[in-house]
Amino acid sequence: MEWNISGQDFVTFSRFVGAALAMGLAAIGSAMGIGLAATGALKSMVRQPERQGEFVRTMFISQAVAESTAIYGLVVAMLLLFTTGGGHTDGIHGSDWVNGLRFLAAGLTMGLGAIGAGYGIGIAGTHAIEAITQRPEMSGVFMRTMFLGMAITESPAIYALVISMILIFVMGAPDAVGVFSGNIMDIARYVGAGLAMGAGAIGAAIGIGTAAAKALVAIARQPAKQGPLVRTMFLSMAITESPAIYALVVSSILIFVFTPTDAEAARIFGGMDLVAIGKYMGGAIAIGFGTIGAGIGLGIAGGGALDGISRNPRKESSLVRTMFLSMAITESPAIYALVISLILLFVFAVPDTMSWAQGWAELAKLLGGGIAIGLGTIGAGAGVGIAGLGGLIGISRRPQKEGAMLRTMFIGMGVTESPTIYALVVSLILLFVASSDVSTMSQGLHDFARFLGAGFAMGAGAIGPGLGIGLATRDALTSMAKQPAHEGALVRTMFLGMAVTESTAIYALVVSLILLFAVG
Amino acid sequence: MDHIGLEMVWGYFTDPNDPSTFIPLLDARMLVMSWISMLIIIFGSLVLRRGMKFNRDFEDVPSKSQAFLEILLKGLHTQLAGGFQSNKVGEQLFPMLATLGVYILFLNWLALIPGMASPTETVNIPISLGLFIFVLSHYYRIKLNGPIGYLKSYMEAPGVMGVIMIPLSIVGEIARPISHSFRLYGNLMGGAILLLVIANLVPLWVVPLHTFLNFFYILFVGGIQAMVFTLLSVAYIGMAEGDH
Repeated sequence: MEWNISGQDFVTFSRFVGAALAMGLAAIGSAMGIGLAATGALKSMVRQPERQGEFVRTMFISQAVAESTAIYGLVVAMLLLFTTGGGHTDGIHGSDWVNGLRFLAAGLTMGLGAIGAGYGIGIAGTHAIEAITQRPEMSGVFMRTMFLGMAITESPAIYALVISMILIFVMGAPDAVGVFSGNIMDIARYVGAGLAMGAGAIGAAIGIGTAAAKALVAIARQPAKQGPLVRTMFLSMAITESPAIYALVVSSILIFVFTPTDAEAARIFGGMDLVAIGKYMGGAIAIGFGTIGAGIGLGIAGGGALDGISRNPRKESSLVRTMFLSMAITESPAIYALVISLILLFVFAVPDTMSWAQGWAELAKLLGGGIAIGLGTIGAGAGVGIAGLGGLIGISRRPQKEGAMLRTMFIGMGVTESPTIYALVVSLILLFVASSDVSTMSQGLHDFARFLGAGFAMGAGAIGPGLGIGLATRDALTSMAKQPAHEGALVRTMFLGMAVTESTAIYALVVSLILLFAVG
Repeated sequence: MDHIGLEMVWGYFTDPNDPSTFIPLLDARMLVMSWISMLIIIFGSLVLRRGMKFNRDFEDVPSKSQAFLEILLKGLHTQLAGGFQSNKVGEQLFPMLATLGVYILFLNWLALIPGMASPTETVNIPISLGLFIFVLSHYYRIKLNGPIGYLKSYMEAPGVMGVIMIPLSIVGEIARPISHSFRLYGNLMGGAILLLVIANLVPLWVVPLHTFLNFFYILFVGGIQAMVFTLLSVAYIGMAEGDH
């Protein structure tokens, strides 16, 4: 059997896979959102059967908006299927690799980018129905708030749509026979841009949806405070959207700033281009995955403030202040990820020449640094937000214990963030301290596995502890609000639980340090 | 550049025999369609106005059609003007916002007439409307808060966090018209594609199914997206009012 695959075949193959990714992944979030809206309507119909028609109407409207995220996936899939891809017929050249993977990245961007939005819209929809059930006379206000919340929840998915359209229509590759450095760089930055925007849209969209949902229920509980609640909702949505905007910025930088120079475009590719792959993909993974947790966490903290204000309107100013503080701490994991991403993009230069063996080692160093911080911030980002939610609920229920609550909340947040700090340390060690001076290919691949393993072990190992410590803090705070007399015992138990939870992250740190320094 | 793609997004087309010469020609069809919908709105309102009376003193009962239109207008008024904190701004902007909503609704619904397409299926009109709202919202932010208050509004949170937020809110500000216009365009274009795909999969003689899907999709999604666009415009301009 002969394998005469032409460039045209590869481009066509990639277009079809890209279309499948766009439609398939986008359908996940959209379908979950549509289902969530239906559960909300069904619950309300049981409670108030006589208002069936109203609930079904609201359900259909929120389902239509949730479906629109799947429609974006469909648009990109169709653009990919009906765009004439081109490609050489005499073997695969550099431009064919670039064009093919550019189309695949476009599909991935839209698919990933729509997951969070569909789900977030569903959360907002089901809570809108809940609010309408509680206060039928205010359904106009709830409708308006629901539409606005859903529209802003959808924004990250629309950024992904724009990035994937830019990848399909604006970007391209210089047409030449052979594979050059410039081609490899183009592939890395296009796929990176797609991954950054696609993954970066997930968390923010879920977070914005959560904030909108909590705002709707809060207005239903405390209609007199409608103005301040809507204002707090907009404020927390604007801050929750910031992780998606970081991702948009990095994605645009990758697309528009790092155009290969003429010398790079004409250079036959080699080990030095692996450094470019590590740099662009590492930076993209750092910001793309690093913003998922923070986006969700910011939304949860904002939702907590809205919930608290509606339960205890007199503490509004103190709750909004606590919300800002916890949002600032929740955002710090995303900021670490942004810093590492920008360091990767702007501090590391691609050398003019490098052996393949050295190239593999350098690739793993940069990519591992990105993976460590990207994955390592998911848990803590959400966890700090959850701890903030606990503090906000606690203060609103038991205002006289505000000082003790704030103290416990800050301690809990500090411990929640420690797995991310370990990930940051490993990431910085990988970028600036870890050295490899290899001459043979076997040594190069040895270091490749070592560095990538260190980054992945720490990054993935930090997800669970961050989330777990956050949950422990939240429950300690809500329990304190219920039983203030047992504050001492609760805080002691919280610390015990945290210490055991954190030991998992420390195992990951130990393994990653062994990989970095002990096995040579 | 690829001419099929260009046509799908911009409604532009190049010479199909020589796609390499990039001479964008605006698809005049869509421009004509938008004029048609404007004409429908203008003549429709002129016709509807003929039988109406302005009765300030509630002397006589309004005719059925007048009562119906008054209810519609009242609903529109509470949704749009009610989105502003100050009555003055709401009253000032209500005619423009209501016209915008009705205009987008008719653009979206134009596809119901056989042989016509919604001009919102290409990106041109949504982007121009999005930019219009963008400029208007900044105009109101400067007008209501003064130049210094306008610059301060980029600090969304108090203190150090606000300073960190400044570059972010600038990027967010730029991203806003993009998401605003692409939401309308993406949904309408996606709907058109969906109907096209179904038309190709299901034999055309299953007329009831096609008719139902066309009406359901265009009326429902077109209506919802017109509403979302208009309400978001209200929210974007309404943010100018700030905390006072």
